[in-house]
Amino acid sequence: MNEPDADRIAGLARAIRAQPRHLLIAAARAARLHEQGALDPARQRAIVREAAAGLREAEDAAALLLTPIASYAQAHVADALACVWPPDA
Amino acid sequence: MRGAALIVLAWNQWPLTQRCLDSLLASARSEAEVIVVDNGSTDETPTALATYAARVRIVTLPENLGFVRGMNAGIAAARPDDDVVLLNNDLVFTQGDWLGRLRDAAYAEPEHGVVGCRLLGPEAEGLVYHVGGYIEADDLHGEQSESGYQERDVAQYPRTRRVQAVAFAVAYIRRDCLERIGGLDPAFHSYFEDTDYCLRAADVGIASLVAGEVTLHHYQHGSTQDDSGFRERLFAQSRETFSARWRERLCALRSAEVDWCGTTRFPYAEAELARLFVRRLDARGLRMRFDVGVREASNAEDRRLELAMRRRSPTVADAAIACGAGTFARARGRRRVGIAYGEWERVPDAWVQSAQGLDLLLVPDAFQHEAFRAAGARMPIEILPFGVDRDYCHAAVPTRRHPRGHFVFLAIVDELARDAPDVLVETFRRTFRAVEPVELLVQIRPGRDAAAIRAALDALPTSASDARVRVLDGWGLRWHQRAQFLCAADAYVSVRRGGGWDPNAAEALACGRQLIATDFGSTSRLVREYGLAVAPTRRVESPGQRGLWWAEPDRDAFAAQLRRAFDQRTVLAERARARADAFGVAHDIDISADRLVERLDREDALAPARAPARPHRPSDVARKASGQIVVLGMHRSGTSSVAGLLARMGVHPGSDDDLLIGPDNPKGHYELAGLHDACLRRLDAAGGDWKDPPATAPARAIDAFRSDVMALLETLEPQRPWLIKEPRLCLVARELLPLLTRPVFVHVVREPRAVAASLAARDGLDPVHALALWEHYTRAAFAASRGWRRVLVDYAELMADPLGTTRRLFAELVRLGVDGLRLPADAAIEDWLRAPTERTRETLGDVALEPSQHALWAAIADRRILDDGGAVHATAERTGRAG
Repeated sequence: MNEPDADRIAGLARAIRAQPRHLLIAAARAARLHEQGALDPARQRAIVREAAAGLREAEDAAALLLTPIASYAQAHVADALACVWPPDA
Repeated sequence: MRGAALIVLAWNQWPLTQRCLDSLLASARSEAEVIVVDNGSTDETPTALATYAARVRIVTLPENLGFVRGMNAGIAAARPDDDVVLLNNDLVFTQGDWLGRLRDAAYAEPEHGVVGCRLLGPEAEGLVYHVGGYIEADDLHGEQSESGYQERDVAQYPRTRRVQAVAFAVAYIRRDCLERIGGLDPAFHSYFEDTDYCLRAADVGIASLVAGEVTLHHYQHGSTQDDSGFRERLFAQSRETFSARWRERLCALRSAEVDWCGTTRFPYAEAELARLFVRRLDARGLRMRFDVGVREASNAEDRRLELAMRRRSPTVADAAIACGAGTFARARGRRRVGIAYGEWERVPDAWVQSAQGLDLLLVPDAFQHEAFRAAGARMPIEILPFGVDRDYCHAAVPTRRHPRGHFVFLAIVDELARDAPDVLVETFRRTFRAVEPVELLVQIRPGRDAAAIRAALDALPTSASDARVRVLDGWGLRWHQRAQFLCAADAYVSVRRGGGWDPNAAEALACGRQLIATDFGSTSRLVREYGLAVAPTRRVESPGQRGLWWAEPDRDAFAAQLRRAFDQRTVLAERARARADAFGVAHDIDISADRLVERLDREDALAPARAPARPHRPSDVARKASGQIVVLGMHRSGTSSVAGLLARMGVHPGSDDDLLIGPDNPKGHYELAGLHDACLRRLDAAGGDWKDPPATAPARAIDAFRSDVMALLETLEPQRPWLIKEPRLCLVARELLPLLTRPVFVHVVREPRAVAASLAARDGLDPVHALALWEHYTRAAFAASRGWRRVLVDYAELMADPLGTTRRLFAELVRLGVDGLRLPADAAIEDWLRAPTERTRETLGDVALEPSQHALWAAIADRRILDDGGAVHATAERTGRAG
């Protein structure tokens, strides 16, 4: 994300009294509905309302989105060691 | 002779039953009887089972009565004095000595009653299905392991330990437990009956355990997989029954609501504390609630932790434990306890400010204590060593090793300035050449600094002659497998600038790995005592933290220790492995958890603890003694005199041809030659003898001993009451308990200096050694008989008052229910005990008893040792090799 994007998201978040990370989730949900052809104005307003409400689920989803995948999608040590030490190591 | 009934419950699924029986019969010992309960099978089971009739007893039920009533039918069919082992028909017995090890655990303490084992599923990667379970009142979901997850098998929980409940897929139940609380409760059809049974056992002081030495395979739900809807209905019904009986009682066990304020993710070390402590505090009766200050993508892999995160309550907690200085302000509770450590010689002023409201601050060591005091902290500060998790971190963890056997240094880093990974890699490359069989493996843990660390390492100059450095970047590894990662290496390297607590350092030592670390901060004491210390070269200011100082490791000193670790790798590796277990014992996280609970209790944060049930004793069972008498006493204590007296009361000592007669006791030992030989073999197989008793024994030595003695006892059984006597039995009597039916132990004691004098005269033993042996034998003997029916005879009293002492012994044996005794005539008693031996003339000279020996003899003299309280015996378990 570049700096203008970050500023824009921060501004939008302030406008609806939400956190920037809530907006990211709202955007992701809206994008998915748009793909499915199901994003009408009412749904869009509902998504924004839910984002502004700071739902716990939205918080968790945002945390997941902003976290390096390796820190929660944890791997087996055996797989890591097999990668480090292939048979011809 | 008493044995064990191995009860297999089968309902259809013959291929499963057949595989189970074949593997079971291949491992079952002769003293075990296999009973197969056919629970109304309608497939080929009845016909196929008939082909096994010569090797198993078959109990056929007319219809499927469910697990509980089916198993109860098997228990009813067992020989009346046998222990029972409940077995599912979807088991595979892959460990030959499984029964012997379950017996060891069952008879290790008098209050033990129900023993399960580790169960693995059929998956190729080896998933742990069961390792001892628990149930929380919140959701009544029976968990099958402490984490509640099916973890990969990393040899976790290798020791025998007490648990709330075991799965009755495999359950060894001692006969005295069955006699105390009966069979399974038919209020349950299937499911929850096992937890119910273990809780009922706990109500009368009977402990449930998992024998970590035993691992079997369980193809779970194989017996009911035909109809998953049926299984779900059974589960729901049993859960309801269980809830009605136990839910309120489980809730009432909670002594406090405790908030844990912390993280499960970053910083890693604080997250590790949450993982280590929350589940343990919860298991100790505190209702833990987990307050995660910032939203985390949960990866707890721990049901108790996840449950603690879900718990919400409007009430203020009885206590709040704030883990990490950043969480102090969030702590809300009647008592506020902080846990913290810093990286510097003094912690930031802001930490002290936020800690001012705490009732107590706990730090892991003296360095951290001083760091808070140096910053002006005035609140009470105490040291709570954090410890290591021995259930996961030990030297026998299986893992992948370097394919060409190279020596591997491992470093785990997540903060660039603190962990100095650039110093680490640069020094390693300077120390070793590519031609040497050595590698450095660096894991960069995911987090804020991961990219910066990678960039710093990439910027280091390299050449073709450098030794190999491998970087594992972008991998988050499962927490329960952390010991596998440590065990993949030969040495763990923690050459940091920061002085904070590094859990990996202690865990590496518990895993039997070498430790190389900076001699600074919380790791300083560990590395000085157990590892290769790297001296800091100078104090440096922490970047971005003005006025906070830590230590720059001396690169030359670091290089020298790397070289030493590699050059002396064989010796150092052997030393590290040899002390791993003792290190784990001395730094056990469970001791830390106990101390934390005690500390909260002293803060008045906990409700008064409910008095636990008095520990069960086999002698609590209201059945009279069976007529099996075991005479225990140290060499030269008068055991032959007492055994001869018992023989005159009509107790059968064995046939004359089988008894020893020796020059040191010309009137007879009343000792079976076969028993004497078996004891010699048993001690020899464990690497010792009577003068140098071994502290432990290999499993096969115990099994062979039991087998030898069982054959001897079979010859005595037709002539109850009978006795066995051999001084070495003091050391090994516990191993015979599974073979005995309501025995009576007759302890023969003699003043220790008299025993030592006699040993000095007969065997030329040094008096100090002789006294140590007396203590060791005596403690072991009384520990073995604790909780069982027992009688004490003092040799000096017997000699001073032969008739009175004999009458008291006789009366006591009759009171305990030994049938078939007759009181010898006075003349016969006096004739047998007249002119004893030269023992009365033996003197010891000027040798004093040790305080522990004084205390032991005092407890014997006033008979306190028979109280079964355990206090007198406590030191016996810590007494290793005598002399």
